[in-house]
Amino acid sequence: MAQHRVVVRPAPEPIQPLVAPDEDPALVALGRRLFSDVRLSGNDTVSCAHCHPLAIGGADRLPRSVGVNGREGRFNAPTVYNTAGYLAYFWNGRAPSLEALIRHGPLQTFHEMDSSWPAVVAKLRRDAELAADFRKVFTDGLTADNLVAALAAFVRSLVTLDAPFDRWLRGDMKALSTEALRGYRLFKSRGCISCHQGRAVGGNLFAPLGVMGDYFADHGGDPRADAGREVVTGRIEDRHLFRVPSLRLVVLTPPYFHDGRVKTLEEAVRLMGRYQLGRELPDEEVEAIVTFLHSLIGHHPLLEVGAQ
Amino acid sequence: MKPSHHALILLLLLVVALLSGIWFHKRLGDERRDARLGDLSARLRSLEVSLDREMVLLATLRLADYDGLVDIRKQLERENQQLRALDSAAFTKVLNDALNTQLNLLQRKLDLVEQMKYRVAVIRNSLAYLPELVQQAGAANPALELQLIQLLQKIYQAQIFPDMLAPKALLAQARALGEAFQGVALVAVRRHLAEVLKQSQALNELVRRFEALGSGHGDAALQAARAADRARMGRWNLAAGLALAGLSIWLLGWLWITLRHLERARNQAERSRARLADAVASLGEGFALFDQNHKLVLANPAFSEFYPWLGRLLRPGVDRKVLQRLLRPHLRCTTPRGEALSCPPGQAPFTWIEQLDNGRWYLASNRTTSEGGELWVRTDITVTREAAHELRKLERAMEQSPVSIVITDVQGRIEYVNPKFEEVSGYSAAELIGNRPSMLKGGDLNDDDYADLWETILAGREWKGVFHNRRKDGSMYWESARISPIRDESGLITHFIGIKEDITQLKAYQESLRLSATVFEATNEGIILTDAQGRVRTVNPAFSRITGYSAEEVLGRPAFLFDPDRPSEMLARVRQELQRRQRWSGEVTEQRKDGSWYHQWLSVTSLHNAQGQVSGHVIIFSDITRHKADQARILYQANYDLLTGLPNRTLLMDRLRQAVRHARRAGCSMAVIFVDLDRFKSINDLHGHGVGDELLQEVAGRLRRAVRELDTVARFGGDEFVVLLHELRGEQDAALVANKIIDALSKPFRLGGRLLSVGASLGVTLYPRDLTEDDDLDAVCTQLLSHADMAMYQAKGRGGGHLCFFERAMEEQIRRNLQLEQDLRHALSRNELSLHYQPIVDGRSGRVVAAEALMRWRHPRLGQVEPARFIRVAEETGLIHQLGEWALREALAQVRNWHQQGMVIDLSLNLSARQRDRGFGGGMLAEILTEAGLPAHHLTLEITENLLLEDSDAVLAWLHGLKETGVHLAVDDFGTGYSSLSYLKRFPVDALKVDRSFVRDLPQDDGDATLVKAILAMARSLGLKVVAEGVEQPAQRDFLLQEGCRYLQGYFYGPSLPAETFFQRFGKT
Repeated sequence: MAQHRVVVRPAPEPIQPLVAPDEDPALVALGRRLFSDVRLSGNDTVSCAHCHPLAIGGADRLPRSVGVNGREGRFNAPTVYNTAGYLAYFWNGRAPSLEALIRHGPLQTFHEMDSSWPAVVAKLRRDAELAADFRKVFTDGLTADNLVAALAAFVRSLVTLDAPFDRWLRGDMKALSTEALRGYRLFKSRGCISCHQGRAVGGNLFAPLGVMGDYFADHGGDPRADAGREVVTGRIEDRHLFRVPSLRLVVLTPPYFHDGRVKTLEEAVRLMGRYQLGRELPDEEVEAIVTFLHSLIGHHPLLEVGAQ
Repeated sequence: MKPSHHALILLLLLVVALLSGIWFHKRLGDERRDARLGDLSARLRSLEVSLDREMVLLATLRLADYDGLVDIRKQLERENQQLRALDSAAFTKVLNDALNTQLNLLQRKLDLVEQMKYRVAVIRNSLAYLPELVQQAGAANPALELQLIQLLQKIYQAQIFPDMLAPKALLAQARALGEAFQGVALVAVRRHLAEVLKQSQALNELVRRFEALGSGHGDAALQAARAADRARMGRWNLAAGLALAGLSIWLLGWLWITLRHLERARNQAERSRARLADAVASLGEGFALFDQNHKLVLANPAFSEFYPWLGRLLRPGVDRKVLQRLLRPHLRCTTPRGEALSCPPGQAPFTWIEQLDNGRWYLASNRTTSEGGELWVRTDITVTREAAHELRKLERAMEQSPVSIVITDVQGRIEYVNPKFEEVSGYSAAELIGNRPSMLKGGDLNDDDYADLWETILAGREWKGVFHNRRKDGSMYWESARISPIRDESGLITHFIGIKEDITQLKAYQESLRLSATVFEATNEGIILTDAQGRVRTVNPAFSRITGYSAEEVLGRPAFLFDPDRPSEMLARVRQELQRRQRWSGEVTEQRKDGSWYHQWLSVTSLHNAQGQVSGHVIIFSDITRHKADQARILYQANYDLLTGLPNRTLLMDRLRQAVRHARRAGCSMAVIFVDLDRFKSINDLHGHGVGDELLQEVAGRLRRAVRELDTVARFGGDEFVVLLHELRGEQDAALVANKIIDALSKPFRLGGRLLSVGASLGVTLYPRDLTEDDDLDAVCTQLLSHADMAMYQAKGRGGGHLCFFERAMEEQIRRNLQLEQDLRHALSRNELSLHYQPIVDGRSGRVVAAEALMRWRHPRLGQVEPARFIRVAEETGLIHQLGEWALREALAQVRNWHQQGMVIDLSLNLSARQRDRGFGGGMLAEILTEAGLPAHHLTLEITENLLLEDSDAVLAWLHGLKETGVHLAVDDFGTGYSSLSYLKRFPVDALKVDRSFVRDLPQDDGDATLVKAILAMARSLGLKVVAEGVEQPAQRDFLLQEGCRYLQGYFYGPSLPAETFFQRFGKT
């Protein structure tokens, strides 16, 4: 009888390293050009990069973003890095895929880019060079579908790799400081990990804001924004449900929460403790957790700040 | 052979070639399609298996991250898109349905899993936090710790055996603890417990729904549909093949080429099977497939890892029985509930549990495949099992816990007691075993209670109760007990187990607590207990009744008196006073949860602990809003109209008196305006009082906006309003405001989802202009109101939407009209009324085709009364109803009489809109027609244009009701109102009567000529008959005839004549 082999596997960590994207470079290059192209907006003033500046973390650090003609939106702009593995897009998960987000999202929204696909396609087709480059990649040239495909490929390519924490996960025990490691243990033992897990440290489930206390009674604002997923599904049980945000670049993207109401990361951690976990986290625990969050920042050629 | 034969054979060959071509092409397509379908179903099944596994991990709180679930979701989305890209027309409906079912099933499972995710997160976190919290709470309250730990144990137990979760009972228990004792940690324990219970319950329900969807059901249906499809294809192929066989010899060469194509397609199917094998190989579950001859087709690596004893034997072709024989010594099989089974189970249950001698546990299922083979699936559940094992240890610990436990046989003889039992009772185990627990009986419980106990537990239910027992040393103690039956595998009760707790101390404590709790619960005053920092520790039901906040909403938050976020000088003063004197009481205004304000009488007292430090506060308050509001309301109701909020008649008179007094003193002018809504009654009748009330409220609002702040708008009663305008410069000012009011009320109202046009008539009188003597204040006021009322009636008489100033002549006019009304009431009975008839002629032939009946009144004193005048009085007083009915009967009888005498003409008769208000309609008309015995088509009823302008559904229905009797409808005086011809299309009218004012200046007046031409042209296009009124000159007749107006009426043909004269003049022609 053959020798039976017993394999003992250690319990996997709930956070796993991010993996390098596998996107068509030609498509990515086109998407990158479009991302910072102001012609995508109605009055040629605002590009995707306007609210998602890639150099500083992919989010504009404003409480609520400002689109064409200074119009202010309802929500805090989230980062565009590390979004490929998201369950859905927008705070309330309105778009089931990146393509859907690009197709039906900011481009047509009144207080964002306030344009339309036919208008943008017509405008961009007048650019002979761009049109020619699209023809090289797509047989049908520059169309709305192809613009969406290029932008989606580019956004999927925005992955921050090789963060100190990822290195630690891969076995480099010196990659984390003692304090960061303590922060990670607290992050797990206090329960943050229950929602913020996976490669992106979040982004893969919906959860209600205010499990152990009524957050909105204390900090409510615009009711339509606060309603969360209810606006999408129409189900009352989805009220205040939001897509749990990825914490990969959380250090770089203040202010926090869906309406950008919370200014500092320490305050955000403390509020999370109070309303989601039903715990008052002592200051030294908050500090340790924030130290750990710093170790989640990886590298990307377009990201200029924050990487350790 | 003739050349024609050659051609025939060639043709035949061609046909055979063609048919064969089609047949092979179809088979080729079928094979490819089947291969693709096989691929797809394998991928879907593999997705489902992965999803099931992730769900189990998730629901048992063991899933480390959710990325896998997102991957599954995205893969499913891709499959969905591919399927949509596939030509679904190529599949049969059954196949399509099965595919969609499978996709939907997966989607539903995914949706359920989505809803589980965050609940799992919440449960995990609170479960992890609770032990720490319990410890904290226990440190503060050692008496509680044991109870808390027990509660906790039940909750952990329920995580492993979800059906043991009894959230209500547990929550009640948790709450009881919380109410008996206070403390921050306890409140937190309670909150986390409640959250765990709530989410666990929700999670269990989601898991139940997920499991109800089954596993592989969708796939099984899909495979069955696939098999059916293949069979169908096979049958078709057989028939076609046989038919072609005889002829296809000619086509062997070509066939050979096509067969090569077929071969290639088969290879493709082979590859898809290989892919299936790959998918199976990568599964975490053990997986083995046997064909219908019990030979192994394939087994994945996990399967061989699961059963290491099979080793190299595990390769395709080996018999199933050989494997089973080899495994049997290593296995023990049970149902998921733990009942033993033979291994492998003969009549296989759906799933069972295998325990291996190497310590692993598998969830197993063998299933027959559609080909008659068998599919074995094994899932490793060792981890879950070990958890269950842990639990048994926990249960042992519970047995050793300081709770008395006794086990008896079915006769009640003690077989086992734990050390705690001996300690509490004072008897040793040796003394107890063999005896009955009733040896401890204290005598307080009577035999009925024991009978109930036995009845309950013998029926297999749990009994709960309290014993008052006697120890060996004779002292008494209270024990709460739960006694439940223990059953063997066959379900027979073999033993009873009693779990008892000494609650003597608790009992005494409860007694004293119950007293204070009763007061706390029952009092009408709101009570808040706070801690030293002013945070709410508990509140009583009266608190919630008064404030609208539930206890859960305020517990742990600062009571308003101590809320640091409310910087109020008042509250600061109270807090100061409290510090100084330890108590304070007074009146405070506070906000309820719904935002409304209320007054409370509040007393607050500080509590002190043994060291003399403040340990908390008691706040007692009562709602005194009602007292205050009652007074205000009584005052309001006496002076204001409840519906509109406007001053009522009482307050109006008061204001009027004040206004007159002021005007006298200041020497200025003022006006009284009487406002009456024009169509209020019909709106009320038609749309109901609700809409009527809404209308009055809306009218009140518009009136108030139309006047200045200082003016008075009052509701006088019903649909009447009175407006007082103070400090006017003169009539102009009053007219300005009155017109503003008319404008405001003539705009349509949106009520009950429709637009209603109402309008109002206004009567205005001025002070002091319209008063001769100016003496008594009350007399002046009464007179002003009556003047305004008169003027309003005058305005009403002009047809609504008008405004009239009071004039002295009005008093006279009204007096005269009143007299006329009196006389008119008697006119019918005194035979003073008669009908005259005016001929209507067919202008082409000159023949009289109809007569219009017109009413005449010869007053005994006044002589002939102008019809316009008495008809108006009749309409205003409602007498029109009797008059109209009389005229109809009279005219019908007359015309029938004429018919009998040989003059067959039609009758035309005016109908007043007011007759509608009084209930005249189709039903009544039909009755009268039948009585008169004149066919309905001889009668034309003339209605005025204004009636059509109302354009309500009611008017339309009324007209249709009349029309149904068979009579014709004509619009009288057409052109004087505002209706357009195209507007008429909506109404069931047959004819128009062009008003005499257009005919008078024909044909000289170009304007009239054009107008009449236009009316005629449009009437023609609408198919309406036209009658021209007021024809007096031949030139008018000629013009009208030339323009195609056939029917004419007027002095040219004859005036209105008494019936006899009419007959004499026209009866002969």
